[in-house]
Amino acid sequence: MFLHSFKYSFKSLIRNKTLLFWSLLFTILLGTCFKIAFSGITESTENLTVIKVAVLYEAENPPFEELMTTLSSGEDKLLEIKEATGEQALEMLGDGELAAIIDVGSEGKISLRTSSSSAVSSSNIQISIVQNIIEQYNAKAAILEQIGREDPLALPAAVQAVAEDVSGLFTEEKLSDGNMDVYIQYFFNLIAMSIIMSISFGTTVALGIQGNLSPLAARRCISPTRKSVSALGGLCAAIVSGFLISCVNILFVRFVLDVDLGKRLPMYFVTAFAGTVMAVCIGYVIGSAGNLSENSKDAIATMFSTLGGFLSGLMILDMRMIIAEKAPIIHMINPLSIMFDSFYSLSMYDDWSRYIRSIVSMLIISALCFAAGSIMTRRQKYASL
Amino acid sequence: MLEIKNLSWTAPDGRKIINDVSLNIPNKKLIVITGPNGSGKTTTINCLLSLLTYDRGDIEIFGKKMTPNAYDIKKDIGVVMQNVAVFDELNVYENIDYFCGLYITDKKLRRKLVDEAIEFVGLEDFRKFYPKKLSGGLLRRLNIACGIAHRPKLIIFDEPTVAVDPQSRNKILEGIQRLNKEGATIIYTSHYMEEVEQICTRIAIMDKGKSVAMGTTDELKKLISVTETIKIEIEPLTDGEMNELKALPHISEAVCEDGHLNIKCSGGKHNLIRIMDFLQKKDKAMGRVFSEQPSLNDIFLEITGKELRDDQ
Amino acid sequence: MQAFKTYFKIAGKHMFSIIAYVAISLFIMTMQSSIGTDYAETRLRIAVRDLDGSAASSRLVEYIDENHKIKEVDFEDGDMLFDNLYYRQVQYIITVNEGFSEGLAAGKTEGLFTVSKIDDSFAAQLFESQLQSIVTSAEALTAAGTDPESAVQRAVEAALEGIEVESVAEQTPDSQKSYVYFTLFGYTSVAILVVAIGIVLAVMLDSKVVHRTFASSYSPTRYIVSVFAASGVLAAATWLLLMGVTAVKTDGVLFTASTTPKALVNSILYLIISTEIAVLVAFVSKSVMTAHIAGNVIGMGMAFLCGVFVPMDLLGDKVLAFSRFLPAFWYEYANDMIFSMGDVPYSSVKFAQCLAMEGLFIVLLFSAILLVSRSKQSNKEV
Repeated sequence: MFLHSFKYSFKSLIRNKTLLFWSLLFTILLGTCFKIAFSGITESTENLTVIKVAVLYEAENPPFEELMTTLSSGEDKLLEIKEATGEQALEMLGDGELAAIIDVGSEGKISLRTSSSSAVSSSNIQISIVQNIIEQYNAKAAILEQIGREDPLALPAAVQAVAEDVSGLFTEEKLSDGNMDVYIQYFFNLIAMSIIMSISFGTTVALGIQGNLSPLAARRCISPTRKSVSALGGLCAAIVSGFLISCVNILFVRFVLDVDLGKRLPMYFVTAFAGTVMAVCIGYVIGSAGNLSENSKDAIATMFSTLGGFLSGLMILDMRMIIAEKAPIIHMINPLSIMFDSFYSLSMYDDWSRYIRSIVSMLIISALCFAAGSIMTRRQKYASL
Repeated sequence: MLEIKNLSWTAPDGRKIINDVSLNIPNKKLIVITGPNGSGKTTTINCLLSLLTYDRGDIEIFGKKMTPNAYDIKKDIGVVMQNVAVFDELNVYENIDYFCGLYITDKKLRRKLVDEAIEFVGLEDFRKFYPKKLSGGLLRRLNIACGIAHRPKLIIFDEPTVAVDPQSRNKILEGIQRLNKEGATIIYTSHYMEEVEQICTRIAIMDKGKSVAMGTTDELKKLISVTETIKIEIEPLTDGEMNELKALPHISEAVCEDGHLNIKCSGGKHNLIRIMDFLQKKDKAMGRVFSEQPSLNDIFLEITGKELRDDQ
Repeated sequence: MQAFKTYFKIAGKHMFSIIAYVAISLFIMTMQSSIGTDYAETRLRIAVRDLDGSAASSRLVEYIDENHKIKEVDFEDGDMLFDNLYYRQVQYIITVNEGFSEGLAAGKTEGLFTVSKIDDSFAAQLFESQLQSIVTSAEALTAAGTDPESAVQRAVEAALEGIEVESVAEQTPDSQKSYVYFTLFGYTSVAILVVAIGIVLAVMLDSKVVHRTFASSYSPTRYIVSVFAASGVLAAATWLLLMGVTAVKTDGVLFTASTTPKALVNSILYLIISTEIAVLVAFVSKSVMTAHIAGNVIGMGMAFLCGVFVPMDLLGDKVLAFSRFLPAFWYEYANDMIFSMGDVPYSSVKFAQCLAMEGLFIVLLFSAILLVSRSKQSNKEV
């Protein structure tokens, strides 16, 4: 009876083209969007384009002029200095042709004029760079001036020190061998979301054994096959179906999108399996709860996965740590966060303790949901009218 | 075989849907439960199948109390529901195999039964078809096959011919009669009196949640006063002639309108001859003459005071 | 009117699901708006450990504290340290190594700091550049005979001497408050409408209902137009709700800011686009779950590619070249211009261009809906 129920439930689920199609398409399309978007960010923040500025000299400042010349020449130049009068420069600033206007005043006073106040604009990066250059120049000039006043003989040594290459100042210590790219978190969440979609399979199984919700379920209820056997067969079929879809999604992310998921890729499939079991059981309990219609239960499953995804950082990465800090209980029971943690610990940590903890959490949630769903199904009284 | 005693069920909104219904269905009989829409037929069936937890009453099938967990009883029951209950994602063969498999674990036996069921309903040419590709009639046949493939001893048909073409309907009714002949006890619910009269041996009439009458057609006819209905195409009769006619023995009712004389007789023999004599003496020109036994509708009308198809 | 009225009766029946989903989307929107992004952040969250313990190193740590945010972490717990870094509770970990003061005095700067960082962000690079500048300045002073503590002190003082930065753009700080909400509208409107409209259309577009309706004297065109109009009313209610939330969260600035009229016009056009997307998704999906999945793909995909979750001017040129084919791009582009948040300053010609593009998408999506609905009519089961 169990195998019979499993076989036909599996056939029925896997032939549901609509759900299958969208579950796969979700990962494919969104994953591709992520890949495109984040590769763009990397280019944007790392490979800064030449910064266009205008320098207006109210007073002569040869050392600064020399600095500007150095920075605006050569193949790796940082600045492009536009020749312009004061009015022209203001107009160009307003039109976005310049990032900033550097005003060189008397007594070495240098100030900056910009047009953007955005806190998240790349032009702000450029302005910060220009500002940093000028402030460092001022600082070093001030120091050398002080030294020149106090001990002119020490000036050559001081100048040499200022010009020294200090690239060896920092020793970088890697805290993990894992993929440190912060944007991989989006892919972790994406895979977790694709796994959590198996909730709908669990809901379908639960609805399929409630006689008051469909004639098909009523027919099952009047058969001599125990509801528990039907449910178990259906749940196992749901788990296998969901797991297969998750595997395809993981392989897509790893090999088609070429996202480095770390060295322990096989364990991702273990997580996918545990996650699918959890998702199916959650769907089972949603489907078993109350006398709501199929559409309403679908909507609840939808809201659950949307909210879970958001709280796990699917849309904004920082949300994850805010929830971990401010609402740790939610973080601990959010299925998407748990799956994310397992992927993260596979990717970043050498030891297995965190990973095992995540898997155990998933199994506990699965057991609780399955028990709750079974109790609710057992106790239901039907009204077929 | 099946006994329902004092069954009652009240809907959550307080309406008493079935009230003290009692039915006794002997083994290997074909009984039709009929009544207007909303009389409680389907609810009775659902209580019988333990799909509904009833408020009061006893249900025994095969001599045992019927409960939701009575799997030994359920294995010998087959149900063909009013709504088609099949999987859209499985083809005809797979659907029948699935439902049969809920009852029969032996694969070899099940294969044989499924093939027989397909043949029984005439779906041999549609084995690989999916439900979406089947017409309404064929879908109903599939629905039936799913309910009877495992050769149950008790089969319940809940209005199985709704929205079915006449050809498929006849096939279904013939099939049901055949199943009965092969030894299955059949409970059939319907409000189509033509098919009820066509196939039934016993009838249970329900109205407003109560069982108002039960018995064979002949037994039910004895319950009512009207034993014969005579219709004659005739020229209009005068009031005096009508009064004389009504005074004849065993005439309970006589109405002449639109060129038709409708007479209901209670008891007596040779009522038609007596009436014909009377009309001939009055020199009345007559057309066609019909003499009928009381119909189910007549039975129902007399017992409940309304037509079988009246809305409540 | 029959179809129109029925639409709302069905919506009423599913009000629980619709309201719950709207509530969740609003929650997401308000949470997102309260979190900034630090793509171009210049102040870092830094964990500092001073192993040198000298006066010089202490002054340096004070400098870091003045310019950035120091976060206390347990350096002994390696896993926790890494977690802080990975989850960006801390963006930069720096240890001032033992011998910092002596190294400075001797002019040996090799390995004075040990650092760990999650990525080579702009802010991290800027910070390192600032430290390099202080160290070279301090080295110059120690080379001139100053003691390390005084050298660091003076180098820090010099570094803290900022320059005047003047913004010439007309900034209305208050109007910027609404910016985030209008930006997020680009995602939230699609997310809410796809599910809300999807729930109702799952019933209204059920094939049996449609067959029965088309078999009646009620013309198919009238039915489709009624359904669309009702969806529009639902969308309008959603828009009012989102604007109401924006007004409340921005303390009423929405009603007074000069940017509001343009932002509202832009949002209304995008609302129509979102409605059309929702109707189109409802036509092709068969259940609420599939509508949700489709809505997420479209909504989130556009949100990432068109400047909702990732600022537009941080997306690469190739990405933007692709994004131009998405309606959200033009909405966000116009939005950035209205609030002076992008690289491109506001110009009425460019704004009109954005609105025209949105209008074009409205026409295209409407055509797509008609095409799909006609195709469904001709393919319907008998």
